[in-house]
Amino acid sequence: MSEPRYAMAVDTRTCVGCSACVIGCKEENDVAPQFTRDWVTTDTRGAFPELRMELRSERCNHCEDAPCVRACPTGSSHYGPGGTVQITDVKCSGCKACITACPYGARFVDPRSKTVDKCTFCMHRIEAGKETTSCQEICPTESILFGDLNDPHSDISKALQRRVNTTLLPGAGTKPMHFYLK
Amino acid sequence: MLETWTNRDNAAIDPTLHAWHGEVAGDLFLAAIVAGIMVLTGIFALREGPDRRSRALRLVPWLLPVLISLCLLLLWLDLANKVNAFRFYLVFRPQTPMSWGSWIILAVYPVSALFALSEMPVDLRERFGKAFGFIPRLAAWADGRSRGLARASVLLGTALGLYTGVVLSIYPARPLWNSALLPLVFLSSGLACASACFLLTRLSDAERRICGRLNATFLGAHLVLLALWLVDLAVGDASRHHAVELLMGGSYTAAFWTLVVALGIAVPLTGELLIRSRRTLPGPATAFFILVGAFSLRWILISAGQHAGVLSAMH
Repeated sequence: MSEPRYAMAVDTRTCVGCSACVIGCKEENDVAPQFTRDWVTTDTRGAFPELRMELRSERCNHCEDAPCVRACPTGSSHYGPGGTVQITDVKCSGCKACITACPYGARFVDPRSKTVDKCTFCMHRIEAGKETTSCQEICPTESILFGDLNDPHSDISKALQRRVNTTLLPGAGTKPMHFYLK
Repeated sequence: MLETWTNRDNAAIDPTLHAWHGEVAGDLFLAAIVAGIMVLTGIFALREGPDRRSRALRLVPWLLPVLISLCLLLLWLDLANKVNAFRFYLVFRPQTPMSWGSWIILAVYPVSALFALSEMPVDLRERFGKAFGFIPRLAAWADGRSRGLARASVLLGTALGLYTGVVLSIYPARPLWNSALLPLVFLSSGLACASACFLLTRLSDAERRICGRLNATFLGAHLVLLALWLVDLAVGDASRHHAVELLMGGSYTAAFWTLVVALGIAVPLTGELLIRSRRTLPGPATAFFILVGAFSLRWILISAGQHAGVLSAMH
């Protein structure tokens, strides 16, 4: 069996922007007060009254070609299990090169630990044998899919095959592993 | 119309990135001066024997360990997790310019100290030798390798000068910095800063004239490179276009054109031309304008560069 390739997809048709994912993540990961590892973005386009709105639950894109990993001088930011992008706190000097390198603004300095923090795809849960991330588990409309892209039978693989999908800033060349189903 | 709203409000990230502050600008400024001094003093040492250079010019390399220490201090002050600063020196990551820079800065210490020792006048060697016996011995060792040290100084200085631009230019997420011309812009500025620093010392008249000419040359090159860098951004994609607008009509325009271009380049360049026509010597005022301009350039670029991110294809 091949190594997993973890990815996440958000269904923009069913996401209602309730921010449960944000709260669930903060609770699960003890995210610093006033900071969030995931967030909801609302795009409104068109001209009144012909308006269309898209809601997206966003977070670190766990890019395949991650500029943050390339920018890290200490090796703290690295590729972890399933190709995800992880941070080793004890190696982080807080130089903020990764924050500057990330085109998505997904990283921040945790004021308590003084190290950089971001979404981990709840790797502590996955490594403990759970199959869902906290944001996925709490989502009331089941808009968040997480799984192994190398498994053609996983829900996320099927959804990405079946549905039109996109990533954020595809032109940035970072090859995000976070998709948005249209 | 596209209106984007987000409930993310992370400090120093939103609404615009503000991760790096004045410490980084100061760090890049001091590193550029160190780089320039290393290159120019190395070239002077390779071209002229020690007896044909003024005492002041031979003592300038002693500034290097002091300035590089200040540079490291600023770098350390900028770190959020200061206790982990030593982590820079536990690994070397070839794909990471900041890792290259850390090791280059570390290499500057022994090379600049030995180079400064080899340039040290005899009377000072004797005077310091009374208190520190190893100084004359180390200076004698460095004397035998003075040309090698001068060459190493030029190479290391060039690497450091280029690094100060490369460290910013590698981020595609920051379109204002993401140009291959930025390292050359910073190197030319660093060389101009170094010759400006020389003007603050007691050079001979002939050396002062040479420094004036060097200033004009480096400032001219710096001006051309700055213009090319702006053109490079202006003819790029929407993100780069948006980034350069910050300096061409946007919120950083006044600061950039007055402090960097007018005060830091045009005034000293015009002054140098006037000095030549009147056959006088360049003085500290020229140096002051160049140094203010060079620091402003880095301060403005650090700030504006974080202000401008990659635009979504949907915009």
